[in-house]
Amino acid sequence: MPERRDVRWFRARGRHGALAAVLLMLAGCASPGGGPGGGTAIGGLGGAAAGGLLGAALGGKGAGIAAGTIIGGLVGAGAGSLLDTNSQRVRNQTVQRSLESAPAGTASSWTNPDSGSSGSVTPVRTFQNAQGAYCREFQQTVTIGGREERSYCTACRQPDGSWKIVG
Amino acid sequence: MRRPSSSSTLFTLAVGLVLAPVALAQTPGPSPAFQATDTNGDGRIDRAEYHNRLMDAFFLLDQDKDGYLTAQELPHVAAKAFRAADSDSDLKLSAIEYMNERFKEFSAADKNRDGILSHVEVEVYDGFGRR
Repeated sequence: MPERRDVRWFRARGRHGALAAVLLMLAGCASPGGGPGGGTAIGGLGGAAAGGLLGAALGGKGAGIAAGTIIGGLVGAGAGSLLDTNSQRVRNQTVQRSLESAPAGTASSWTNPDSGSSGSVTPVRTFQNAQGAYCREFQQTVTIGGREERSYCTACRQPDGSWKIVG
Repeated sequence: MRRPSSSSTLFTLAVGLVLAPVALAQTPGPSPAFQATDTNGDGRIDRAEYHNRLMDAFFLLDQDKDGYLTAQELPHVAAKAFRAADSDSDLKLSAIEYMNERFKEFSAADKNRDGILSHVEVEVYDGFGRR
């Protein structure tokens, strides 16, 4: 049985750090060691919110993301070298959906059964930049050939509703 | 004993009704909401953690993502409570206005005034502080 395309690519690169390196270089994301937020608290609302002091959000949010509207630059062209087209599409849709509607701390998973690759996206902190645009730090995992790579990214919401990596 | 303001109380009550209430007072330990907010896992919620949670809530409540919360985006918040939070009377809440209102609750819940909330303080506030 021939190897899956993602696995072949990964083996060809030969080194475990290749995925992370490309993601960091082209997506502007930080390695886990660097961490998000430059030492600020990573935080936020995980899962469904409760009422009272700690409640204040959610309750039915989550719809309203047009599938496939992600801008190509979201996770960088480098990911295109690592994932087949279908995996990229699934991953990008998941990133867009997660950033648009998932509470901090809630992981959104994706998988492409055809290639065997999978991953997850978890917002960890939300803030507004100097221009007032929403930005979210998020953790991303990508698993190819049984190996998982993790990175931290920051994306800001664009006027057209897409999310763009900023650092 | 310091008590929360009536507007703050109304605001909290109204928002809380929208959002899947959890019986915090019946939880033996920290609630899931508390644990989710306590991102460094030290068993306490500091102001930065509370701020992060509120900012996430603000973003998710802001349906049109224009950076403000309108009364339409807070349909269960009483008009009086909304006006109390709307310090510049522009009929919408900025993140700062939202934070200012919600941090009144933080202060009200922080009974020992140490700037940090224990899960007991949160449960007491949610269960009894607004009576």
